[in-house]
Amino acid sequence: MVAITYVEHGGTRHTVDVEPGSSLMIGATLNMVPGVDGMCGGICSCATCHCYIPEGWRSRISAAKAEEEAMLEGASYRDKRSRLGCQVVVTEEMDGLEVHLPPEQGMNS
Amino acid sequence: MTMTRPHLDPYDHKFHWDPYPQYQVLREQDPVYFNEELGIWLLTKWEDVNHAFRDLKSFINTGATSLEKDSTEKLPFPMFIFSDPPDHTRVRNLFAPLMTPDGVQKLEDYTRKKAVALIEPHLASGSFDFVADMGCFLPMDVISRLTSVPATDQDQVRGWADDLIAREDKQHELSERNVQGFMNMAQYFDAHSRKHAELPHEDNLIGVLVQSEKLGVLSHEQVIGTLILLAIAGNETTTKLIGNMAYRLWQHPDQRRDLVKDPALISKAVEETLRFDGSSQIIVRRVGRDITMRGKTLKQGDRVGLCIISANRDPDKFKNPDVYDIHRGSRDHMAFGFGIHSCLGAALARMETRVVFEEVLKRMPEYEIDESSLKRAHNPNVRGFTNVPASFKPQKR
Repeated sequence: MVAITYVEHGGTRHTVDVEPGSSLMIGATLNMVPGVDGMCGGICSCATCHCYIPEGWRSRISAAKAEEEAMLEGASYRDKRSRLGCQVVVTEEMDGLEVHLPPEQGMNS
Repeated sequence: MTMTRPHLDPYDHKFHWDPYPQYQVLREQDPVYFNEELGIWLLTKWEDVNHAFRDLKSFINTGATSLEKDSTEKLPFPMFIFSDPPDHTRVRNLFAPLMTPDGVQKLEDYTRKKAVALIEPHLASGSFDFVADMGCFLPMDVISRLTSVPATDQDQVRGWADDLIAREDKQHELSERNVQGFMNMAQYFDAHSRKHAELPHEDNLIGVLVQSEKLGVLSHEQVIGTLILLAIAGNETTTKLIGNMAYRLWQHPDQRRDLVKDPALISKAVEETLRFDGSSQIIVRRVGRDITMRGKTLKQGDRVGLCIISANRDPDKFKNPDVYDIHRGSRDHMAFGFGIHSCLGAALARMETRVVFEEVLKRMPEYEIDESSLKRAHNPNVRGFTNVPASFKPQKR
């Protein structure tokens, strides 16, 4: 198992064990981490698992594909650290990763 | 004074015509309702249903096959939707990449051509059945692109899927016809998958399935179960959604004209139809550990129906929930479920329905539906019409 820490916008931290091969979204939703909805269940279609990957970790995580970028374009509070948790596959190398969450999930309307 | 206790039988044919008033009574009077006859809890409030979708330890999918208690024994090919993580994640991840926006976009041109081909022959006659001429063919045809079921076999597979879901009035248990439909599909997909395992790798779902079996990731029974699942899920629900949307747009001609004027709004209308009249009524779970909701204790092992079409009409969640308003465009309905078990084909269903109405409204914007000739399919879960006959001004070729 891989230890991932999800940090809510307000600062509350949730460190949980995540199965390698699953995703940051699955890790959060299986543990009911507040601030991650994962509404569409991982088909890159809702942008409700939006999260921020800190600078130092980004090079160790595979880059976002065009379809993820396209979904992120509509996400509220997007910045250069933004990823969709459902598209980030959890690997052993990610043990200790700290993922930050936006103030709320969803799309700009 | 005698109180009438709220009661709801999801198998009652009369109930299928307009279930919303009864759901409202349950939401107001008994939102955590136990139907003793069926031995199942029914949750009807958005908040409770959403909680059940999120609390994956208290509400599990393993053994939660359908409303019928004994269906696991009678329908012996495992479907991954009735499993939980980590097994569920492992299997779902095999197919998820085919169902993302990129995967679905690859099917859009094909879907549009197919939709046009289904509409065009009816333009000269001025009559068109949204389900019998369109809804029942299109989703089956598109899902068959993914499963490599040839056009010549599609009517047969659809017939078996219809057999599996059909329920007589108040039929609470699986019938001979239901089981036979399932077994016919199992036999067909057994031969189908064996045949495709011998062919060069195909870049679609059947390709993923037979490859996964070769690698030992899936058993042969799981491959068959998945193909049956797709024949039902890829067929029955979108079929009904198309019919429901045709009906609601006919009831609201001003909104339909808004769509004709601005087709970019059609995807919002699809969302509102999903919220207002989704084609899946109830999603079933089992209680994974004792849990108390609104003062009632649900015991480990109990079966729970999450009444999503009721949740989507909950006034505590949606303003004026019983008003159909395409401009709402709200995506926080739970027509496809919510979270890790939510419908894998959601993006595909949205695309198919949008494309159908883009092409229909171009050609027959002022259709009229003959309400007295509407016919319904009857199932405690899938809700919609088998016939939605419409007429419009005939067009010269």
